Amino acid sequence: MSLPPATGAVELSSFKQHVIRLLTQSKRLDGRPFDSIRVPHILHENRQDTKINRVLASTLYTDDTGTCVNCIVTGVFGPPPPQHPEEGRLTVEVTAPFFPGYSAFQIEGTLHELARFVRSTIISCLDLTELCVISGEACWVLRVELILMNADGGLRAATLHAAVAALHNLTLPKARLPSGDVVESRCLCFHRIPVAATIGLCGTAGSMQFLLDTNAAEESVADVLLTVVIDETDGIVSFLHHGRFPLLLPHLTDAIDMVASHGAALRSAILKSSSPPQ
Amino acid sequence: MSRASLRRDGRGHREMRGKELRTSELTQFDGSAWYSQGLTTVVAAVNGPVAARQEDYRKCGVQVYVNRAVRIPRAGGTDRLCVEEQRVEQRRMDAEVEMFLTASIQAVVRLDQFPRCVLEVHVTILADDGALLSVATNALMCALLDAGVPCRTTVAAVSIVALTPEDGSPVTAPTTTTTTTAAPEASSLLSSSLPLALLLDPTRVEEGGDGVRTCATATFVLSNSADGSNNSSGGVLVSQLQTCPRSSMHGGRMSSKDLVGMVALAERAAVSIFSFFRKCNVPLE
Repeated sequence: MSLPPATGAVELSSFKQHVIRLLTQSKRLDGRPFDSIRVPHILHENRQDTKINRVLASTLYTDDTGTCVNCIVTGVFGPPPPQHPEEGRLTVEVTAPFFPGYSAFQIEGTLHELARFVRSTIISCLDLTELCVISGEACWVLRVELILMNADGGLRAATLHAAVAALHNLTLPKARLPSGDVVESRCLCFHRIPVAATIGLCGTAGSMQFLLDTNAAEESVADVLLTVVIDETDGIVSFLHHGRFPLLLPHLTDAIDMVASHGAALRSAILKSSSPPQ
Repeated sequence: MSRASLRRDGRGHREMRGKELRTSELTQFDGSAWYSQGLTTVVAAVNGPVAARQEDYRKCGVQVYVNRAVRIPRAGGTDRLCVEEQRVEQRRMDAEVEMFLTASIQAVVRLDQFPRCVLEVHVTILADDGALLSVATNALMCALLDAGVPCRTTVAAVSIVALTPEDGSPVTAPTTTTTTTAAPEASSLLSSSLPLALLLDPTRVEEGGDGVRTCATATFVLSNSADGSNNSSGGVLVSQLQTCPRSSMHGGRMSSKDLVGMVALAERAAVSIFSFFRKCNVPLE
């Protein structure tokens, strides 16, 4: 689910023991309270003069502890999928070029699962028929490329937020088909905007402690990890959880309510468009 | 009326497909299980724990390899890009099964008893007709028991599809015909108040859905109860819920109450899988 934490020169097992000692003292590694999130910052890169590279949007997702995800959306024309001829196509690629020390097999499995999670979550919130140009013949093929520059836990939430920020209000430009028809400009809209958070659960001394928005060190020592994705009406878009002991139903609903209480702050941070000064 | 509530293969909403289990057939592995529910068939084989070098030496590492007996072949012509995308999507579904099974093993097996070791699991998907994650997890559980790997508990995995309820009921039909102006308001109130219809053990066609009524697909891994009673389950160990595309635009919302209902149905269905496992434990005469 997550990449191992970057411990530097410290051994991984000793680092885990240190994090466990901090959690028993009700402290976190970065000093946050247990129920606070790391507010993301989205930078949109304006490339109005370089549309020749087919880059439609480029966003940079960062938060205060160093997670950095770059999202580049490119679009070309192509044939529609045979199962749904009235829809467009959306592909998601996740790469992590700056993690050479880990096992390549483990990283590849994690990145494949990340790409599938981001794509299935986005197509359940986005109407793919808006990408259709001519039904059965031509459609927009959007390729979302996510580059993990630095990861500090919460990979699913970070990559999903970066992709949603890039695709929201994306302008499909005016273009010409190979047959000569002119396709008008169109704006891509989500009918519901997903926000996600990762929650860790530590069973220390018989009491359950929820850790909202875990980092990589906490994910390596947490007993249970939950990823909750909700929309504006606090409906569940996606829900993933695994752990070392079984959870009962009140824990699942408490985790969903905890993410729902921070949903508005996350959504406004993602949708706020901030551009660097030219 | 009762015939309309059956599914296209003759099952009711809360009925599972036929289960079949064979263990200890692959003699080159420490434990193996061949498990099928309906047409979905998975072979799981377990090797180890064996000594290996790894980074976190305090507990046993887990490696899961997922293969498919049938993959989408390559294609040429104008469909090459679309077929290549389907191949990539199938490979990513294998990675999703890998992550799900790795999480299930880490929850079940007592990995702290085997430091500096690796537990290898080879999973081959022979046929995929829906509920793939639950069938693979059940096959993996039987393979672990066959290999004699010490486990904290036994688990059973259940897949569920949630649908919006039918609005063609005869109870609501006369009210919509009598009051035409209040029809959309009444139908929206009815659709919001009625709970979602749940299908247990879905096939691939039911998982794909019709694009309007299918709200979500979910897979839950439930542990055995500690006191050994047959009427309850010990809680959810691993879960995965994903809403379907093209259905949320038609008002298919999923709330916490629907998640609670799905987990409750999965807990009742896990009891039948646990009893099936116990029946398979009886040696042949």
